[in-house]
Amino acid sequence: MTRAWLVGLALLSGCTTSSATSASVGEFRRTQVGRYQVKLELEPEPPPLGELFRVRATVTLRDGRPVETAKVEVDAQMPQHEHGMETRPRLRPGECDAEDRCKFPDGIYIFDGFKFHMSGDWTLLVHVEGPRGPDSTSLIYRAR
Amino acid sequence: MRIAPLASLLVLLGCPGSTVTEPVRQPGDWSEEELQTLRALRLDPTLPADPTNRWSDDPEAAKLGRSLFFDPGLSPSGAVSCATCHNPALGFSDGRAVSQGVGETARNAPAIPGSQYGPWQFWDGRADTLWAQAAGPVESPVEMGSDRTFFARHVMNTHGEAYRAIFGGGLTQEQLDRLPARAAPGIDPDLDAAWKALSAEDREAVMEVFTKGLKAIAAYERQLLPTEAPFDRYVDAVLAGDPEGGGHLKPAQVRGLSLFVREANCTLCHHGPHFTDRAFHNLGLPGLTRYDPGRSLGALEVLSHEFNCKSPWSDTDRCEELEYLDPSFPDFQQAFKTPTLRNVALTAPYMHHGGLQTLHEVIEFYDELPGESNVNHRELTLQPLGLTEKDRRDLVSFLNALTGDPLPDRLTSPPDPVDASSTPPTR
Ligand code: HEC
Ligand code: HEC
Repeated sequence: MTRAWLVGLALLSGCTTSSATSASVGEFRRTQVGRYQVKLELEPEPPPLGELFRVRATVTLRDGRPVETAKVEVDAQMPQHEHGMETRPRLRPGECDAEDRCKFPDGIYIFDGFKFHMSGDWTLLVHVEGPRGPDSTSLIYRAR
Repeated sequence: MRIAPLASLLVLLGCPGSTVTEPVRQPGDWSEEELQTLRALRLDPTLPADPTNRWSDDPEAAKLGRSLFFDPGLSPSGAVSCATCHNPALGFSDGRAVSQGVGETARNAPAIPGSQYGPWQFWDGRADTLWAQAAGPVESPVEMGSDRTFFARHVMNTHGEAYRAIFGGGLTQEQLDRLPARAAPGIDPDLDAAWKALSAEDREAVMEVFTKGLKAIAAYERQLLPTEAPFDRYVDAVLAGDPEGGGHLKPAQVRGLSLFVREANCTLCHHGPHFTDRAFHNLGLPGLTRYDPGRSLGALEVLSHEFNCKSPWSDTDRCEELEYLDPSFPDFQQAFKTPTLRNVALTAPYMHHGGLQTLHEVIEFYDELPGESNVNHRELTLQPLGLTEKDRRDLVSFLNALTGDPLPDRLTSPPDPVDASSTPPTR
């Protein structure tokens, strides 16, 4: 994961996120520039504090068609504490061909190894590099 | 994971938080949300399975483990057992700032009840299971000063019958006859040379008895679960609709609890049934006389620990905690595990360095946050609390309500007198 997009994303989301935070996990939300729609689901939800959980990201175009070949990254941070997670989540492999082109059926990208080690507000950041270009979004999740 | 640089985060920091003002509530008058927090703090003794140890819930293994836990014969000095530093009468700690075994340890001895639940053992989490943890003190030159060969021989000589009944096998008489008194890799050059001189078969046999002995100790430790405290009975009564909480907490304790979950926000880290997030934080403690890397080293160590979940001695290969651990997490520097607060009144002195003598000193520390961290920075959420002296005393009083009912005698003493004289000190 590159540092650059995190920076950009954090700046973009800025205080505008406070209005956008009404969007919650389990709902599709439009990415920053509007290229995609992303739905994040936590499994289990709510994730028990201090325990590993999974994040399932579903990525579609604005018209709802799944984006199956994007590069998707998800991270979680606690801005008030200036830290991220103690873990390094990993994307489950998609269906890859001999040239290592991978497809994620139905636009579903599953990440194992998330952990909220503290209660409080976590920012979930999603970055998509897809057929329409790069775009990102974030939402705030209150862990308790 | 990586963290965006400070500048961009400051933008986020500037965002107004929720500005909804809650009505001011009296201590004991709990909101729905607070009731949820209390429910989450209530003791839940359900212990998750430990797939790394096939004998973790075997009562016979636990019984053997109990004998081993109290047996000073496992130390060549004949004088140090696990119970030396984990004394049942002191909540399985030792009442000292740092511990005294064959030598002096660098850190304070934590309580054992409650430690079973988390994924990491030790203040820095350098072991990922109870049995892997137990290898540490056995072979530590300042704790039991023993080694795996000495340990295995003692187990066979003194607890052989119980061992064979549970695990079968063990060391044969010929092996016992030909093994050197002491041998182990990596402790000191003599022991190392003796270890290298063993045949592969003998090494394997020693490892077998050593790791199974450790697993028996772990099976015993799994039975040392925290017990119900006045706080739990209070929560039960409140949740059942009695605003007085059955009178299980004194008014000062209810005030202390109220401070704990509200103004002082201790539940940010001390939450859940064991009052710990099982995570690592740098509190910027006063009185640190030397640099202790804490979790930043512990995370690296656990990933390469000889007996970790991924090792050949583990009974599972599903090791998710290890798989996703990020040892480069920046705030691991000088961070230590949040300890359980159950039975905390029994386990003075406090903190990983044992530098705070009383609970009152602990509260004073959180209230004033003197000085700053010599490394990295103090956990940013910690802010001076501005407590009154009464607030401080009430918080302490509340912490006293976390002392559980005593464990049954059958768990706090050895099963039968151990004849330590049967193994004269060597070396
Ligand atoms: C000389 C004193 C001493 C002896 C003997 C000793 N311990 Fe400890 N124990 C400690 C200290 C000190 C720590 C903390 C060390 C650290 O975190 O670096 C500790 C940590 C632990 C922990 C971790 C608890 C937690 O919450 O992380 C467990 C469990 C434990 N010991 C069990 C044992 C067992 C089992 C034995 C016997 C095989 C044993 N100890 C022998 C002093 C001792
Ligand atoms: C940022 C997380 C965090 C917060 C908030 C926090 N603690 Fe702690 N607490 C810890 C950690 C981590 C330690 C161990 C630190 C060390 O030894 O380096 C600890 C240690 C303690 C201990 C010593 C226990 C022992 O066995 O040595 C007590 C008592 C305690 N905390 C009580 C409180 C109280 C009361 C509050 C609220 C005023 C509070 N804590 C707030 C993380 C936290």
